[in-house]
Amino acid sequence: MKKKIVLLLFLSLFVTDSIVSKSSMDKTICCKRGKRGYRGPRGRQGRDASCGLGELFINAQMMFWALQESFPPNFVSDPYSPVETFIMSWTLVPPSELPPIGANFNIPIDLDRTQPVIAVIDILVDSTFVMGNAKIQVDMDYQANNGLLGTVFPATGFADTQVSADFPVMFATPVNSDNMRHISVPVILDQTKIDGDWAFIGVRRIAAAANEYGANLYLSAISIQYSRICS
Amino acid sequence: MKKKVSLVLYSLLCLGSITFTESEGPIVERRSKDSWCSSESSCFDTSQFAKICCKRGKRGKRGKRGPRGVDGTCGPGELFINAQMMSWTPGEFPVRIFPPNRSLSLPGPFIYTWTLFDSVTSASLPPVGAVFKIPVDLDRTKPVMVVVHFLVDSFVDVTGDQAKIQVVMDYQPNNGVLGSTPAATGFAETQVSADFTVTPAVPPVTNNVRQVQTAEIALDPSLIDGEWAFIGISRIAPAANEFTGTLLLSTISFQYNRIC
Repeated sequence: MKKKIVLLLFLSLFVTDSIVSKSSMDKTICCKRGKRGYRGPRGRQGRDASCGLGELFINAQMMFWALQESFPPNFVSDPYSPVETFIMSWTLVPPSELPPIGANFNIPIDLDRTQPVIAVIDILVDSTFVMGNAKIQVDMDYQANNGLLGTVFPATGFADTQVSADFPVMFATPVNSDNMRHISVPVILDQTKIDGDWAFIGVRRIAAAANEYGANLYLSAISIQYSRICS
Repeated sequence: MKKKVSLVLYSLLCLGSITFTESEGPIVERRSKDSWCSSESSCFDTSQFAKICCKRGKRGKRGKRGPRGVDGTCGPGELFINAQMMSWTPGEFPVRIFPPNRSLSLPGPFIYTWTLFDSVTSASLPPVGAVFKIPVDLDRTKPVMVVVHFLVDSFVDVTGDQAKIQVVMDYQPNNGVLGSTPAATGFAETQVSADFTVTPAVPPVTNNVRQVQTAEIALDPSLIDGEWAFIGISRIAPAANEFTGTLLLSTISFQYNRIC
């Protein structure tokens, strides 16, 4: 029995000794860790900001009318009473031979002349009980430096004339109140006609195909909406 | 006898083991980069040893692709409204004043402005207003600010140095009804500025004017519904020490973040 114990002890000591020896060898000379892997590839570039849309607006005080001897705009509404803050606008009478309401503006330097350009006409409608359809004509002129504007030859008159689709006009509610209804009417312009930096826009009513709205409309604002270039 | 032999062997082994362990440090010493010696005559070359059993591990895996770069932003946008684009009605209809009711000569060209009296006088007067268009590139999820610019003359017959502004806004989509008669709902929102300091221009009683502007007045972009807009500006009482002179409203700046 004792013999076996002694042998067992001997064996265990031998094994322990071997392990100790091996680990000390490891410490001294064993394998180097592999190199760090290559750096991963660069992430994808973030999306560029596109140039997006741009807009300029013209409110009533920036417009004029040939038949209006006085200034300011010839119609004033007072919808927010008792707060007596007035909103100025220009009267667009039913279709007639009267001249358009006009405004000068500058073609924005960032307007992309290869992309659609839209004039949005903002009209107010009073609460007189009248309904029907209306239509808008937009006359545009564009002039480069040294350009000649007018209708006497060699000037060539308006550069571009566009019309809106017929649009329904509904009176503001309640009837005969100070409230006003807002209508916006888009008119697509021909951007290929835009030549130069100076521009004129004229807005007038023309006859709708049917059921003409027989009362006045009030021109409140015009906006020119476009795609921007950014380089 | 066998027992004794076993004990002696065991003792020797123990002794040997202890000796080896103790001598591991001091006996084996490094002589050069790759040479280790246990005595003067017993050295071994680890470079050779490494070649045999210690190949360098494999190169690690290539790292992950880096994160995507930050997207470009569209940046801020702004529109402005000057005095000629505004209107005011300081009396009964149809009395109205246009062009702007106060022109300043510096000397030279006139500068048009609208008069904003102190809050007590203003209480019975309507705001100075303007119609404008909500820009097509306005991001309605981001802050929208209004900054109001005033000119202050050099009159000395004033007290106080604080002022405060109220801004009323209305927004209308196509076919929206604006007004205050139900079912119209009046102004869409009302905001006020922080109190701001106003001091007359110097030298006193000259044509000089001082430019003063409010801090940014935050509008609620979630209320911007539609593309037609009205803004009205009036004075209200600051917390204390109100400037009793007139403020001359010159321009309104409408600042926003662009979408593109």
